[in-house]
Amino acid sequence: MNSSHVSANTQAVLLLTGPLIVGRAGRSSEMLSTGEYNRLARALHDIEREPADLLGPEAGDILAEFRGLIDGERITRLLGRGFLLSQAIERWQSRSIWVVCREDDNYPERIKERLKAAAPPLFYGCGDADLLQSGGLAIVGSRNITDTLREYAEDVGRLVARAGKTVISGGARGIDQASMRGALRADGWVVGVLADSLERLVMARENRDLLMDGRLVLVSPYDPAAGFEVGRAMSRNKLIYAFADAALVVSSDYGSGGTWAGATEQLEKLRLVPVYVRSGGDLGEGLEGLLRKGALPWPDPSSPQEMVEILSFREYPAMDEPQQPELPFAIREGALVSPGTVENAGEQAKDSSAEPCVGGAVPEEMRNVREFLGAVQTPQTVDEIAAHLNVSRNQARKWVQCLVDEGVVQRTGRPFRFSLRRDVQKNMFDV
Amino acid sequence: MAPVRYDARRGLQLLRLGTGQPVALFRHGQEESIAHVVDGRGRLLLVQKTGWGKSYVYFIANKLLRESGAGPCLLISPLLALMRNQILQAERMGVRAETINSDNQDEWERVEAAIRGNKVDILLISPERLANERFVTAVLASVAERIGLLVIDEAHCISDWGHDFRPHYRLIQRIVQALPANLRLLATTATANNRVISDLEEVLGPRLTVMRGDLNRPSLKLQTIRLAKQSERLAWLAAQVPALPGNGIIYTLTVKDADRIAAWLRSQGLNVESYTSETGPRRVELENALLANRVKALVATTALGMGFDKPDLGFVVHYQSPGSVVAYYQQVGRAGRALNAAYGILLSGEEETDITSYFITNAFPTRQEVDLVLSALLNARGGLTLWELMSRLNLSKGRIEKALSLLSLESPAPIAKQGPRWQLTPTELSEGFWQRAERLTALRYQEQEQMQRYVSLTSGLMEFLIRALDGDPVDVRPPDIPDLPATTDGALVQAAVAFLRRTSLPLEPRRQWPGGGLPVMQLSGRIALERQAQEGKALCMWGDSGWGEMVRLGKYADNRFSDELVEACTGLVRTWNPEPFPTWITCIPSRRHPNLLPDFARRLAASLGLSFHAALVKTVERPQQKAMANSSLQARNVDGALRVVGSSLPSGPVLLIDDMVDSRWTFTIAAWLLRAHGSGEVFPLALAYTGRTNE
Repeated sequence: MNSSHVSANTQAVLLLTGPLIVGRAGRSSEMLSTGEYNRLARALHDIEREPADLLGPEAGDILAEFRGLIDGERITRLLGRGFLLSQAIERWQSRSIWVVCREDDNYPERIKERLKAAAPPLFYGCGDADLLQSGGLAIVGSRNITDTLREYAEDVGRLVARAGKTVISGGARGIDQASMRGALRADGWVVGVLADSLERLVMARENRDLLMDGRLVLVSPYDPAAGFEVGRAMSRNKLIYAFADAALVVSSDYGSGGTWAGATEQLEKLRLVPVYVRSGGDLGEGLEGLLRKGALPWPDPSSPQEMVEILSFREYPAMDEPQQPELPFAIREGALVSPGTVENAGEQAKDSSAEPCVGGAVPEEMRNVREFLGAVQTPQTVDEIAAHLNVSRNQARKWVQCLVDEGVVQRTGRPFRFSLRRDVQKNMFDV
Repeated sequence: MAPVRYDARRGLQLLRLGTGQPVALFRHGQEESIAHVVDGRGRLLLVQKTGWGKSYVYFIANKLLRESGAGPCLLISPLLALMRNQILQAERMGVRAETINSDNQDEWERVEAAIRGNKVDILLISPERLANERFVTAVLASVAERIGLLVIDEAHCISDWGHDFRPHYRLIQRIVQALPANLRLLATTATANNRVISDLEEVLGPRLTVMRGDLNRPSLKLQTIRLAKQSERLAWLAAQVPALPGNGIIYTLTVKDADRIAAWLRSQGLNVESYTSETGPRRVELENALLANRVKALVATTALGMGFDKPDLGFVVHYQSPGSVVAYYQQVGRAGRALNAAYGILLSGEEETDITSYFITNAFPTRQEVDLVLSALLNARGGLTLWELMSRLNLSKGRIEKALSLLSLESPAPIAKQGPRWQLTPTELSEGFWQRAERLTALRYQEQEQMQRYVSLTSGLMEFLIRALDGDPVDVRPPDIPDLPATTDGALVQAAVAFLRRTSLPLEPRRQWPGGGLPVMQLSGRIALERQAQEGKALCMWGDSGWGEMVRLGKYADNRFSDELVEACTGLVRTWNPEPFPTWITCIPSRRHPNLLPDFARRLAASLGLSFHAALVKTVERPQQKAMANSSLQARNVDGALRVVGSSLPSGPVLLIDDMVDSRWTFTIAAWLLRAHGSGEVFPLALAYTGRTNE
C-alpha cells in the first residue's frame, strides 16, 4: 500500500482519537475513546456528514448543532492539533507506516463486518495491506513455552504456509513468534497484529525484506510509538481472531492471561471463527477448560489440502443473534454496509460484496473474474483484474477473495497474483 | 476557539502601532491577505516583492488570532538573519517573537520555557530544525498541538522548480501534505514564476488562493560589466565603490572571495566588512552596521539573504554572476526600495561558471555514493552512526551527510534515523529520486545559461528579468542616472595582483586524534599540548590566481618549485614572524617525488638564513592523501607511515614544509613525532591549501 496518502477522514479520526506521539509520550489525555468516538460518528452520520467535514469550513456549524451532545470545546481543541498531526504523519511515512480509518476504502473489510462498532477507529500498519483481507489461521498461545510446543507451533505455521494460507498472530514471544517463524521459513504469509511498538518492529532489520516482499504485514490499532500495556494486549486479541478464518490455541493458562481471555471471549461471546485447541500431548488445565467451553480438538491436518479444508469451514454454529452492536453509521459509497439494516437495502443490492461467497449464488461479476482469469492464462494482480472489469480495486479484491475461498482461484507471488487452479481451468475448457 | 472574524478597526490600529506611523494605511492587498488568514478562508500563497510588507500580514494576522484565543504561530524561514530587523515591528504591536536556531543555543532553555508558558506568539525556525530529532521531539512537541497558524516563508523553495530548492523544504512539502485542512496556512515568496506557482498549487492543495503583486523595481539602474580576471574586478571595485551613492552590498559566490575582497577594499581605505555563513555571532552587529550606514558595504555571500530589509540600500554589486535569474533578481532587488534611484551592477568573471557548475554538480549525491551508503547500512543490522559510516566509506563527511540527508527526505524514505543510528526502512529508493535529480540538474544548467544571456545584454535588462519571472514588463523605465565606467585602472590592477599574492591562509592545529584513534601509533583522545603543532600557514589556495597556478606547475609540470615561490614564502614567513622564530627547517618526505620538497626547503632555508635537516622519512608507501575522502581515513593513512631519522634533532623551533595541505593530519602526526624526538615548536607551512572552499 502507498503510505504517502492519508485521507481527510483519517486525518480527522487521528485528531479525535490518536495520541499522535512524536516525542515525549503524549501528555494529552483528552482523546476520544472508541465509545465516545462512535457516538460522535453516529451523530455525524445522522446529519449525513463524515469525520472529514469537521475539518472543513462548516465545522463550526456542525459542532454548534451537536451542542449539548458533545463537549464542543474539547473537540475543537483536539481538532486544533493539526500541526502535531502533520509531524506524526511525517514520522510514520518516513518509516513506511500507513494509517487508515473505518471510513476508508482500504480499511480491513473483515474487521468492519465482524466487529462492527468494536472495530478500531484506526489501523496503523506496514507492508502489503491486501494480506489483511486474506483470512487464514490464527495461532495463539503463551509467551513462556517448552521447546516441544515451540516446534509444534512452527510446524503448524509451516503447514499453513504450504497450504498457501496466512498465519495471523500477535508477534509476542513464545507461540506467536514460533508460528510466524514457521510460516515465513516456508515462504508463507504472516499477519502480525501488534499491541505496541509498531514503529520499532517496522525498523527491525529482520522484518525489512519480509515487509518489502509482501510476506509480512504488521498492523496495530495503537499509535506506532505506543509501548506495552496489558489492556492493549487484551483488546488486540479479538482482532487476531477477527482477521482469521479459524483459530488454534496451542497453549493457555486456566482462568487468567491474554490467551485464555481471548479464547473464552470467542467461545462465549463473539463466535467469529471456530476455535480449536491443540489435540496432542499434555493439554493442561487451560486447553481442557477451553474444550469444556466448546472449543474443538485440532484435527491435526497432515497435508496442505486438509489445512485448506479446515480454513474453508466458515459457518459458525448457533449464530442466532448479532453478537456485536452494529456500527453506528454507514458511509457513503457503500464502503461500510451493515447487513440486515433496512436503510442500506438499496446499496446492498448494488454491492455484491454483501452476498455470501460460499453456498450462495455466484454473482454474474464473479463469473466474469473467472472467465477473465481463464482467458489470460497468466496470473493477474488485483489492479489488473480491477482495470479489466472496470470496477474498484476493493470490489475486485472481494470477488477474487471469494473465488480463492471457493478453491477456484489460487494466489501466488509477491505482490499477489491470481490465477485459476489448473484442475478448474481444465474443466472450463472441457465444457 | 470560536470562529474568528477579521476586525478591520483593530487591524489598522496594529498596522499603525507596527509602523510607528499614526496615519499609516494598508498597501494594496495587505488587508485582504490578513482577513483571508484570520477568517480561515483556506490556504493562501502571497507572491509579493521584497519590501512590500509580507511580514505585516503575518504579524497582524497572528496578533488578531492570538487575541481570539488561538495558539502561537510557527514561522518557517530558511535564513533567520533576515528577521532581526522585523522583530522591532513585531514588538511594537505586542507580538512576542522568539527564534530557535543553531546560533542561539544559549537561549534555547529560556525560549523553551517561554513556549511552554504560552509566552511566545511567533516562533521562528529554519526548515533544517524540523529534521532535527531532538528539536522535534523535545521542543516542538510541547507546542505542536497548539500551533494556530503556520507561515512558510520563501515558499518557492518548496518547489522542485524553484531556483533555490532546498532539500529540507522537501520535508516541509511532506508536512504540508499531511496537514489537515483546518489549520491556517500562509505561504509567502518574493519570486515565483508560473511553473513554481503551479507546483505550489499542487503541494499546498486545490483550495489554495494565490495573491500576486507586481515585480517591477522602477528605481533600479541595472548594468552588466564583463571583467574576466579577479584582479580587474578588485581594481574596479576599489575605484568605483567609493563613488557609489549611499551604502550597499557586494555579493560573492564563495566565503573565501567575500573575505578576500573585504580585506582588499579595506587595504584601499574603504570601510567594508565581510558577512558569510562563517561570520557567526557577529552577524547581528554587521547587519546593524549596514542598517545604520556605519559601513560603506558588506561583502556578503547569500548568507546575507532573502528579506534583509534596508529600504535605502544604495547599491548591490555582484562580484560574480549568480546561478540563476531568480536568485539575481532577489539579491539585486534589495537595492533602492525606498529610493528614487539605486545601482544594480553585475560584474561577470571567468571563474563564475566553474563555481556555479560546482554547486550544480555537487547538489546531489552520485549513484555510486548512494550505493555505498545503502550497502554499508544493509550490512550493518543494527544501523550505523555518521562516524561509523565515515570510518567504513571512502567518502567525505560532507558527501555522506548529503546522501543521508537527501535519502531520508525522500517520501517514502529508504533510510531513517532511529536514535543516533541510520537504518534502512522497508522501502527501496525509487528511481524517481534520480529522475528528479537529473531534471533539477538540467534545469540548473538552463538557469545558468539564462543568466549568461543576461550578462550579454546591452539594454532591456529589467524587462529581461521580469519576463524570466513571468511578470508583465510593460511600463518599465530605468531611473535617469549615468552608467558606471566599464574600464579599470592599470595601476590598481597591479596593486590587486600583488594583493592576491600576499594573501596567505591560516592553518589551525588539530587538538584531538580522530574518533577510534590511530591504531599503529596507539594514540587517541586529546593530543598533548606540548606535542601539538603551532598555528601554520598556507601560501595560497590550490589553483587560485595568486600563486596557485605556479604551485601546480611546479608540482606537475616542472618537478621543481620556482624561485619566485621561495621568495614568496620568505616574504610570508617574515611578515608572519612566528614566535618563537624557527631556527631550522624540515619537510614532509615523499617516495613519489623524493627531491621536490627537500630541494625547495633547502632553498627556502638558505633564503631565510636557517639550516635544513631531513628529519623525517616515509616507512611505507601509502595511497596519496587526496585519495582519502574523509578525515578519519586520512589520519589512518598517515598512521605509522612516518619516522624520525637519526638519534637527535635540533632542539630549536622548526618550520615544517609540505606542498599541499588538506586534512592537516600529515602535519599533525609529523609535528607529534618531531616534538617527541626533542624538537622545539613546530610551525607548518604549506604551499597550497587544497581543502574544499565553497560554502
